[in-house]
Amino acid sequence: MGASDAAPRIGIYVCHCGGNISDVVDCAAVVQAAADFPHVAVAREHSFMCSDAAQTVIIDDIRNLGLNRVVVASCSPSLHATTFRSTCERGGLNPYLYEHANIREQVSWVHGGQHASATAKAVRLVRAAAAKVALLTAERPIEAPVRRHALVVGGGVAGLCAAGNLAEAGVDVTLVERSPFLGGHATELGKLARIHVTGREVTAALAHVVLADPHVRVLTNAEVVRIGGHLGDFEATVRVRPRGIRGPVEPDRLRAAIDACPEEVVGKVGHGTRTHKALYLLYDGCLPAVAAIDFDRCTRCGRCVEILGRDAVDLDEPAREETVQVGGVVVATGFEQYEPYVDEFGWGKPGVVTLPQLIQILHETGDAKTLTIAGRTVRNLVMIHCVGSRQIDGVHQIPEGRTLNPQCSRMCCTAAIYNSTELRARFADLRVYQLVRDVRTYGRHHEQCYQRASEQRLLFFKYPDHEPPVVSDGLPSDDAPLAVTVQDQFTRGQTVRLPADAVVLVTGMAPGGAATLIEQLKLAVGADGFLREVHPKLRPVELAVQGVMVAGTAQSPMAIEESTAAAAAAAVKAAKLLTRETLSLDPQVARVDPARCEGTGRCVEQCAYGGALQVVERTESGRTVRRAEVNEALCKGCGACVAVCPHNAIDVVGSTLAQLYASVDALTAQEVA
Amino acid sequence: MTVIEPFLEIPDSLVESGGDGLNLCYQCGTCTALCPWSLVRPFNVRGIVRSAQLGLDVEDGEDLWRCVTCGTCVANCPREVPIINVVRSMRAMTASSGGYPMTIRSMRSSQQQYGNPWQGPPEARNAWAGTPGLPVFDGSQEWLLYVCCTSCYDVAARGPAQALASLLSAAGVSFGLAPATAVCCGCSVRETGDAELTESLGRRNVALFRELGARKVLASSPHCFNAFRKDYPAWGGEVEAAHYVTLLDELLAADRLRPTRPVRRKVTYHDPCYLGRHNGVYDPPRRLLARLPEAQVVEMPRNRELSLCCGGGGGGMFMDRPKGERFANLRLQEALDTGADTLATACAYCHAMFRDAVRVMGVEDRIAVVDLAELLAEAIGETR
Repeated sequence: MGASDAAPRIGIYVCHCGGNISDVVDCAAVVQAAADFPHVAVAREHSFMCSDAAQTVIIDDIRNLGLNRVVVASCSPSLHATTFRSTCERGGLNPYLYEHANIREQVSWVHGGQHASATAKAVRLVRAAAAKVALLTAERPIEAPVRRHALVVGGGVAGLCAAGNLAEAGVDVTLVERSPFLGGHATELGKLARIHVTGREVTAALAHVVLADPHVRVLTNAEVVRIGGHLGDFEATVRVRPRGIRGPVEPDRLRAAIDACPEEVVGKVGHGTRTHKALYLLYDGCLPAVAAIDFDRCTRCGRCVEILGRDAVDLDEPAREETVQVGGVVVATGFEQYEPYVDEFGWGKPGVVTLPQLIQILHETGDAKTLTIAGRTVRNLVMIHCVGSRQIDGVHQIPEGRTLNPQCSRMCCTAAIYNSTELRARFADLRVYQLVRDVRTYGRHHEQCYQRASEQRLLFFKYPDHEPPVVSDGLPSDDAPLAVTVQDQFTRGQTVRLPADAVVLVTGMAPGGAATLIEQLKLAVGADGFLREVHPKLRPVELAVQGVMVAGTAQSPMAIEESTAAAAAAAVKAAKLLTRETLSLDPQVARVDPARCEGTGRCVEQCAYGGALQVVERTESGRTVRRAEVNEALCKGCGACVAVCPHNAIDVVGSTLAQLYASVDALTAQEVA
Repeated sequence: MTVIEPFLEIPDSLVESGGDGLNLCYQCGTCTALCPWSLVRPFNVRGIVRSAQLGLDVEDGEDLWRCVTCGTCVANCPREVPIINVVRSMRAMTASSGGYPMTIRSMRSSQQQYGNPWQGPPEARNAWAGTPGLPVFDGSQEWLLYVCCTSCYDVAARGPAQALASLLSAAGVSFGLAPATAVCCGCSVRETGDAELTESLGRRNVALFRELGARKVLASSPHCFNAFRKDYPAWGGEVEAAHYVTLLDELLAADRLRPTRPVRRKVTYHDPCYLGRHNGVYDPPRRLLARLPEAQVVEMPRNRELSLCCGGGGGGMFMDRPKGERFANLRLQEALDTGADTLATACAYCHAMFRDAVRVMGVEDRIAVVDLAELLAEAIGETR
């Protein structure tokens, strides 16, 4: 690596960006000016500095002209600074002896037509970069150890899939699931479009893999209550609620114990349609196949103990906390099922149910020849799409304390239409009316599902965004308890009135379930309330906190196939980081000069990244002193600490005060000649 | 504001009577955009299908009888909705309650009385062939030549059938005419919605073909060809049906017809809907034209799958349209715009509609309407 102590020999390279820059900035004039800056050995221009040919020029100059500093004036550093640092490295120069000047976003793109002043500004920016680069020092990446262990939060399809893939890649996994059973919402979806098997079968396939893998530790009935740390070394505290049942018990005895349990619990899934006992299995075949006791409702009457015995039941099992140390985190906390508010599309009236409830009712209907909802045989069923999705401020009257859901939930069109085709296939006399805003059966083979619905003579009505359908009580002449009116854009915008025995609200996905992680790991959240990835197209499963990935519907509404795809991607990204012995971290972080630091702790107060700075006591020359200490893995190099230090004892590597002063002086100096 | 309620017994019944598939429509409106009616007046095909889905009255009841069944909508529908079938079922249902339009009524009574739409006496069916005429099919010939009723009884346009017969003779094709007991193929009653009458006409021909031992039937009109090919098999009519242009194409290829005499015309060809879009015959007519010595052939911008209907199909032949709403006039203008002096076609309806358009537009001195058989006969000469 080139020594940074030698007298600076700077190479300056000005990019045309194929006209993006050179149409506005006189690049030749910038090069001419740059050639006269102090320490500049060579200045050149090129139509595309990022091209292989231009990079080769830099490498040759480093070798042939003995350059020990490089400046490229081109686009934004976020686009290509890394490119040119690696160019320097390939030429044998320490990559941190590089400085970037942005003369595209900061000059040509914002000063179109002002050639003279734009050129003058470009000259100043290049001069500032040259002044700074002369003072840069050679640095090396910080090496940090990595725990080959991932925490997966959430045991739905995304979490299960991520955990299975991580284990397969050789990473130990701790999977934390809030409920006593694995599978999440997918277990409540009934048969799934395209594959025609149930969500329970799909989740079971994923869960069996995870439960059988010795590298995966599954904690159900558990929640992350505290979490902190950084890439390579996170620590989470998991609170595990008591299950009450110690292991699988003989099915007949378990059935007898459940029958004996006197406490009925209204389940959360399906907005209260499903009930179970305080001692319960979520459904036959649920995983883990160990019953659980809902201690919020258990009265500890002891009847189950009488049947199952004290070896199997522990009514006094305490909640416990355990600490998990991992190298990375996969957030797979899923979504909250949207719950309509009172009176929203008739919600609260008998016969008005949500799509998840309808699926539950269908499941319970078994082989019956007719569909019964709220005690009534259903002949006319109206489905209203986009309930709780694509909400518009002013059109949808959101109650206090709730937020608008502007997003399309993406899976509900297909789910509603697919289930309607099942209804038509099972109940010959049932008329099904679909009230849609648009039909977004966007996925692979979903269009065929939509076509099949048309073949089965489902009727579609298109309501305007600003005029949602109205659900009211039926008239005596209707012979139906409900009636829905819709401004149907398919029928010349006329008002169509549909008497209905039941109305199904096609509810979508709302964000929720990741509050602790968002708060403690400082995860970015989009305006829609879902987790925000680093880049929606280039880095779709990484969160801005290094080492934390997102999988599935915590990020956005997704269908199951999209959730598992995202989970597999998140697992690959996490495995890439966690299967290394050590991590290379950016050395451009805060550095304390112990000779100047007096341990005031002002820097710690300003630090935006918890744990990146702390004041420690240490012994120096026989006396105890207080000194600020940087955790290089947590520090992002933002510089807030530098600004408040009363003793100039702290600096950010690569942007020290001295370097910045030189840069500012060069920027503001009177124009030479 | 009026509030409407669907009345689904109606679509149930439409589905029963041949309109199955009407629910496939997702109301994109491609049909409305492409319908030739949109060139002359507002005409909402999408709305008609929607009315059928919900059992509502069609916005403008006359629209139901305007459809010419040209098939442009069906050929381009992304969901392959059988729109023509739906319209046909709706016509049947409307007729069963409110009756047919006047002109259709008279066409129907002629069908019932004479077995053809033109009140033509059955014994005069083969009068076009002159005296002593041509042999009638008796089972000894290869082909039964079935000439469309419209050609049989239109005394002003006997040329196409006569030219066809002379070409067949010239090529040495063994054929006999359908006897005077033959009736209309049924297309006009079929398209206007009377499935029952269509079937009764069809079965009469099927019985006749069987009685005569006809195995190969040559149709002079695409409408007859379409009926023989698609409808008759359901009634036991297992004949090999062909439109004459495909046979002429084969005869030319086999060198059994040798066009040698110059045909000094600039010709543009109009694809009949029931030959082109309904049966996919696009190339044989063009190959035939290419064989005419010295003829210059030009295409109209709308050709093949996009051909603009003459307005004669779907019962349009029997209805009176205001001058501004006649597709034949638009189509003739398209032909004139190519600079052609000859508009060729291969359908009795198209032939009649365009001859009428030439008169109405007063362009007799600029363009002639001829049948492909007539053009080929010109190139062959009267005798071999």
